[in-house]
Order: sequence, then structure tokens, then C-alpha cells
Amino acid sequence: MTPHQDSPLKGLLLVGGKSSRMGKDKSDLVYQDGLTARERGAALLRSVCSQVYFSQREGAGDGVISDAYGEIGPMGAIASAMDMDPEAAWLVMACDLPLVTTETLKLLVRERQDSATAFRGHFKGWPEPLCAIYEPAMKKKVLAAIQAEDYCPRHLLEGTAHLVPLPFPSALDNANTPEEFERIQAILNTGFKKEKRAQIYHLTFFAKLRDEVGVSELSLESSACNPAQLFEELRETYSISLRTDMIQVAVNDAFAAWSTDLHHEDRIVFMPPMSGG
Amino acid sequence: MFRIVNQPICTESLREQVLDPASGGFVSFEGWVRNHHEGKEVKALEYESYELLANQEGARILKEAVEKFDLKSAVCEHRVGYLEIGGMAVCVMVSAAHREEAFTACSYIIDEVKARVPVWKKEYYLDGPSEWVGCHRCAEKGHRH
Repeated sequence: MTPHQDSPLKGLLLVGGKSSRMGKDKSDLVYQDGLTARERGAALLRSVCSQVYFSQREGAGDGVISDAYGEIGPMGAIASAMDMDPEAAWLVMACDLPLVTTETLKLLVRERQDSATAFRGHFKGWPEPLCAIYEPAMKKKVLAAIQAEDYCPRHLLEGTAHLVPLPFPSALDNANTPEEFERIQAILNTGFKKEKRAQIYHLTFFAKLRDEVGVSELSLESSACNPAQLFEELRETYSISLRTDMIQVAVNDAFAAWSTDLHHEDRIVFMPPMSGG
Repeated sequence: MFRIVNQPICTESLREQVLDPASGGFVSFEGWVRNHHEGKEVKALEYESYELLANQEGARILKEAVEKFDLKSAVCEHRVGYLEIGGMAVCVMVSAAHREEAFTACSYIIDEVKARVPVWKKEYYLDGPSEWVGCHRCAEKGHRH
């Protein structure tokens, strides 16, 4: 494959999700800097794209591409954008990716290749379709998939897209539930981390997590100020396949939130999904 | 009382714990190791727990059930370690003035124990490597394996 830079790159921010598990519109959530997910996503896309559009299920307006394919999700959004400008390459991004940075998008753009470019996700190394570049050549495949009623954009990218390793493990973590929102906010909470010196934490691992980390107990020095940040450090070091939304946290032998403030010598346990009985 | 145990569960002594002169109904549930799971032949199970937190959370569930269903008494033991087919992994026993509360409470307790108590099981199969059971839907209410 050859680098593909001919087509102009346009941004498509997906804001039409149903947000049913979150209980409120994910595009309105504020993670940091006082920006909503919608505002922040658009600003990120503007840093690498010539023009940015919002994909919505319905409605019209400046910079809005309304979904012309009915209730089939992101695939319909991608097809609608390609219908509007088939000459452009589309950087398609979901609005609920609060840990995406300009650097992450620049990395994707630098790696741009014919057909499509996407990050390789944690789960089975599958492509991440909702932060990916779809070149004009993909239009035929998109329309064929819709014709065949296969609305999964990941299927579309499998075997086709050039895959780029994630710059850091949580780069594309998203939040579909209030618990995940809290975890991601805790990762972003660097307020008092700088003032704190590194502390010693004692970790215990059970079941699948113990197998993945390779030890049942671990004491480490860390500047993480909450379990969410501590878990990110583990993900940097160990290959952890469990989805974060399946993990529960205990601090000093009691269930605790991802955002719990940690103290020197605290005992922390990250628990895989329970399977007793 | 809730307990994580590493020896075979003694149902007789558990039953004695819930005997109560004001009770007219007794219901028990035993969870056994079965020889199949999602189409695969299972030869054994291994359970482990985060014992301290498991005992706390188990006790909380029993207390909830006693209050919610007006029970006279409720007990539960969960086994850890290696169990062969037919082995008893968990046992719940409740007594109440009337049978209806006893049935409902027993079912409530086992559902909550499965979803909330930090116990994990590994399945050993006849063919192929062993696996931790990690169905994330197990933790959802109403999902029954």
C-alpha cells in the first residue's frame, strides 16, 4: 500500500447516538476544559481536517449531515457523508472518546493509506471503526455492506484497513455508562497529582487478572492519585484483555469508586467480573 | 451467616442454624458442579475468592434478605477450591413464617451472591485448556446460566 494524501480530509463527528445506557445525551457530557463532548470532538477534528461536519440522526443546519439511511447506526452516517462528498476522505469519530487527543489524530493521519486507516483495538486486535479514516475508495464497500444488511463498520475495516497501534492503552476508551464516565473523569483528574509525591500501593490480583499480570501480589510506587489512574499504569505495563467496564475496584477491603482518593500504603484490588455460584 | 469455606459444605449444620420455632417454611438451594457449560464438556471447577470482601458482601446480602422478606433466619456458604462434577459449590438456606417469603428470599439471595460476591470460577474441560468464566452478562440481573 502507498501513502494516500490526494483526497482532502474532512471530519465527521458522530453525535447521533442514543446514549441509552448513559441515561443522557453523550454529546452533552463535559469531561474537561468546560467543553461538551460535541465541542471538544469538533475542535479535535478541526486540528487535522479541512472541514468538520456533525452526523445526526435527523435535523438540519450548518455543518450537519443528517443520516439518510435510517436506524442503522454509524454505517449510515458514513454513507451519508460519502454521498455528500465522494471525493473526500472522511475521518469519522464518535463524540464519546474523551481521551482522544490531537496527537492521537495526527498519528492516524500520518499513517494514512489507501482504502482506510484505523487503530488496532485491544479486543482481539480488531480495528476501531469509530476513530478511523475512510478514503473515497471505501464508498463502494460501504454501499455494498448496507445492501447486504451488514451494518457493522468493524466488519468493513477487517482485512481492509491499515492498522495502527494505539499510542497508549486508554486512547480510545469510551464511556457508555455513568460508571465509565466516572472512571474516565478520574483518569483526567490531574489536579492534585502534581503536588503528590509517589506513594506505595499494595495490589492483589484474582482469577483472570492474576493470570494476565502474572503475580497475585504486587507492591509498587506510583504517582496515581486514584484507582483509575493506577489501572492505566498497569495497562501500560501488562497486557490486560478485560474490558474496564467489567472491572470493579476495592480499596482497603471495601468496594470503592474509580475516583477514590488513594493514600500511601493503601491496598487495592481490581476485580474481574464475579462468577460464583 | 455467610461464609466462604474450603471444605465440603455441611448441610446438616447449616440447617440447624436456621431452625426456628416461629418458622413454618424452610427453603434451601444447592448449587452443584455440572458436567457441561455452553456446549462444552466440563470435568471440574475451581473457585477462588477475595475472602474478606466476599464474607462482608455475603453478610450484607443476607441481612438485606432478612429485612426485605421478613425472614426468621438465612445462611449461605460458598465453597472455594477444586470441585469435581456433582460437588456442592454453594448452599443457601432460609426460614420464614410462611413459605412464599422463603421461596422468594432464597432465590433473591443466590442471584445477589452470584452478582455481587467476589468469587471466581475456572472451568476445566474434557478437551482444551481451562478458562476463567468471564461472562460479563453474569453480573446482570436476570441473566441465568
